[in-house]
Amino acid sequence: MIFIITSHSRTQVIRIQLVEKKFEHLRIGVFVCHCGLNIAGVLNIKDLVQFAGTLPDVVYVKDNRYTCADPGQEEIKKAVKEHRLNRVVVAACSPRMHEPTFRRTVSDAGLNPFLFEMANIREFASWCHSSTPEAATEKAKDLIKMAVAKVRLLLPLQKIEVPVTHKALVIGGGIAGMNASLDLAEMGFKVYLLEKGESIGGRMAQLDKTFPTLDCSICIEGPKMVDVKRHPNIEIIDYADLLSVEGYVGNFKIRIRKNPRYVIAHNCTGCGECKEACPIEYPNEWDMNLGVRKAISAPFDQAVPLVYTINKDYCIECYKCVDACGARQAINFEQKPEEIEIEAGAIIVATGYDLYLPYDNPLYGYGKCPNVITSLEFERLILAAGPTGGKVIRASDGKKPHTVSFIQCVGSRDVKKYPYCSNFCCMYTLKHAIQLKEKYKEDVEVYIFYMDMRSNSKGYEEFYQRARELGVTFVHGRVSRIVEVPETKNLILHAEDMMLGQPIEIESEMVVLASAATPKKGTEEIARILGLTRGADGFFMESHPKLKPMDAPTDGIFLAGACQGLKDIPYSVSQGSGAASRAATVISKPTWKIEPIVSVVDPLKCRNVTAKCGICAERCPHKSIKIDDKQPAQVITAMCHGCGTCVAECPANAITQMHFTDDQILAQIGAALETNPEEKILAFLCNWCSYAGADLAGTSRFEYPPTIRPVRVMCSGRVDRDFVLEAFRQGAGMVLIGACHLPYDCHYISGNGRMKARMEALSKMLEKLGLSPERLRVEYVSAAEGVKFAELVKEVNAKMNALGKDKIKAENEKLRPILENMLKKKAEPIVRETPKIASTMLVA
Amino acid sequence: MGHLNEWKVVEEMITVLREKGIVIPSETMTELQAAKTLIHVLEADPNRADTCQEIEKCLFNVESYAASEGQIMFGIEYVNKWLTQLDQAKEAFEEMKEEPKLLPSIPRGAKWIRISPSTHSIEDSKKFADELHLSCITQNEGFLLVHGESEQLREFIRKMAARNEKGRLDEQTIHPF
Repeated sequence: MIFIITSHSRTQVIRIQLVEKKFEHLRIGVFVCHCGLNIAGVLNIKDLVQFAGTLPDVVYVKDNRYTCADPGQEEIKKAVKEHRLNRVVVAACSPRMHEPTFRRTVSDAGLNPFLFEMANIREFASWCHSSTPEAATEKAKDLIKMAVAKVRLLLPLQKIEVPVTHKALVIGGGIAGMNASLDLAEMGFKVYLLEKGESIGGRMAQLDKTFPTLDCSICIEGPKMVDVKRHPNIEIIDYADLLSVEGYVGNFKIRIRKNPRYVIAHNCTGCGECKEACPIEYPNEWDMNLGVRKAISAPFDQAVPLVYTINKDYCIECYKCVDACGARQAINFEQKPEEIEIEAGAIIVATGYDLYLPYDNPLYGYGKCPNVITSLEFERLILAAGPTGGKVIRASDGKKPHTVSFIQCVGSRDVKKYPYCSNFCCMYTLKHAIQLKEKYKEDVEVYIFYMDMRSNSKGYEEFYQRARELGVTFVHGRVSRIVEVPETKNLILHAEDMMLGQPIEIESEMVVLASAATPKKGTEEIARILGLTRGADGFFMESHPKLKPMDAPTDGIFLAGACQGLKDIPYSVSQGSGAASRAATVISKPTWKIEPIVSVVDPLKCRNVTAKCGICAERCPHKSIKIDDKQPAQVITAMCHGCGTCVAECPANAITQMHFTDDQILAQIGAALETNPEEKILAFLCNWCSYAGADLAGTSRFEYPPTIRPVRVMCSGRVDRDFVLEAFRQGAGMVLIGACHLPYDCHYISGNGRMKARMEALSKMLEKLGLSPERLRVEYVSAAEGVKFAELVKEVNAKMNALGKDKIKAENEKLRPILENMLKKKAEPIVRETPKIASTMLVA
Repeated sequence: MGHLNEWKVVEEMITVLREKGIVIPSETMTELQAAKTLIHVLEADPNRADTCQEIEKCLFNVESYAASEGQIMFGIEYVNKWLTQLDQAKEAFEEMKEEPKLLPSIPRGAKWIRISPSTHSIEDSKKFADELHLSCITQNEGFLLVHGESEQLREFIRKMAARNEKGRLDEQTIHPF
């Protein structure tokens, strides 16, 4: 049976046909690399070559000094042609290093690049078992045998190409989103900038000054906002909501609802005469409700676009604005919401953050005591263009306070509220303290109650010193409660000064709370629409925290600014530019190539045809499986990342992961455990973390017992319980599953979590059946944890030795019939009337 | 520099052209709005020379469009009048308007609106507020502050809107043309 993938770009449908293909005469070539003395200095190459020649279907074996060098590659090409090789195994270094090199080589020789496999005999044998060369050679033989076993079952695959729309959508017009838009527009791409609010600018436009330079915020951001509006490649879609996104990398179709402003944007000149005429004022959210705005107005004078909006919740329809607008004819009370559809090849999400208003924290009296305010409220007070004209005054009596206390970490770093650090509060509090001291000099006393002052960026520590020099008093300790003095409305702060080691009381005329920053309201909805995941803190999850910090787990979607995690302005600007560059890697290409290591559903076996199933769709971390009633599940190929979690989760064995099929992995297991299985640790290692960790152990020359036989999978989520059962059926001494650390390190978002749940259930069952619990081990090893990997293998090996060969054998004998029965049951095919096309993968 | 005065003159020029049925290009409208935004940016820090230059660029773009279209539409003399007006505006002293300021008497989180005394419906407003058990405070300069429950306040605005619509319909009946 062979899968043939064909792509029709016009219809954008890819058909996978299950084709009976009788006898392809296999001719496998094995190339053993010396890697100078890196391999040949430890392993017996002659022995390996001789051994490889005995393996089934191997017709040609050759060793060479450096297989990756040009002469080595030429030898492969020559051998493929001269010996009519149709499969190639290279026994050399880690596939993480040279798999792409050799794929190119076999492709140049005229073979399909996916008919190639590597045996990692350097990092996994010569480098980590250098003091036991014989055992290392035996292990290397097993590794070559496993590679040959897999390569015999490999199928030719083609990369899938999809066309690309050379436009981008940026969601959120804050500083990160604006920067991303401007960068992409400068590169020549059309950019749609979607803004939910009335104006772009985001939080930065609300600030008075920026730290540590104390630049006027709107003075530096305002011209940028205008640049965005004036750029011919940028179209701002303001006052609008994202309704839906369909498609995949390079080809997104986006539906947007433009909300009515009741003002015709093109006719509005921004003169403000309507505002002058309007008789109604209401609290201005932009000013944290400290100021007022008219029922027809813009939220602030520097708004972009400068188009006024009628707030129908407050408008009494006196039509004075219509009269004032006159010949401009910009007012239209009949305006309706309008739905539009746009196309984009890449999406940048830059939706920003919100601030926690601590009404629910009774200790600090926010909402109850008028002179307890949040830092953003303070920001609006001290801003010259703010509701008080820059005067810091108390809400209770309109007087200037002479003592102001700032309390840090209100809600942040609080396990009961928001356990994370909000990142920028220390710095903006320093800014406020400095502003107060510089404005009112000796006339104001400033206290800062802090847990830790975090000033770890360029110029930040100097900024902290400046605050100290200005006479700001820093109190290391948390405020336990605030009591209001009824007569004066002053506030008594009770705290513990950790430096003095005793409780203190300070009377302040105003208290400013540095409250936590939280995910933006509506983040959940955006996550749902875009199929993004959020971390435990509610912010969007990146594809990989270290290697892909700007990529969302869905291809073609990128993250910028505080929506991914809280960050200050310079970092947000950098990330906006970074996300623009990442997006450009997609939209600058005429077509986008997708790795064919994807999942394929066999509709003959899919349970959803006869019963409601959908487990695969629910468990797919990338939301790339579509489920319709009474229809087989369909994989949206362009969205599939090839983790294989769905394959392992499918109760009907109806899904296949290309290049990592069940048969291929089972063949590797069989080859690894063919001799002395009870003395071996069979390990399933995920490509991105634990396999890389094992590579690092080798690179670092950390030695560990040579009893481990690793099987590489793309994600630990691919590890089917059948693999474990089969390993024990074949007599494995121990089974180890290596995964990325929980909860966030998984390259495929949650594959490790799925595996964990699956293996916990399996472990319980096997224990009940009589398996010693230590024989199945799940462990989390990152790419940087070479030592941990080496220590882990030592520990598992010691446990295996402690159990003893006899006990292991006895357990295996007892288990075998049960396991055989379980595996047989699962392998039974489902027979049903079959449609003509066996399976269809959806691209569009 | 009287940027705001200058802006008002060019904005008027654009309005006159539109009144005559000319469709103003969106680029010109963008320049006009951008100039206004930047004028307000400059208010925050009047020493920023780059912003000042940008404002002049935007205003000049609008001015040149309006002048050339105006010349076709109204003739050279009319345009010269505009330009003189523009020159005078540049020289004129700019009076900054005081924006509404903080209202400390209102509790944080409370729902409220404030009605300007300019509206002829201030008495009706008081009546509606009473009917809906909303509180009214007459503030300095005759502003009426209405506050209370959110739903009641919404109903109050609905009533005011309905009353205004009725007034318009009545007027149309009396003066149909």
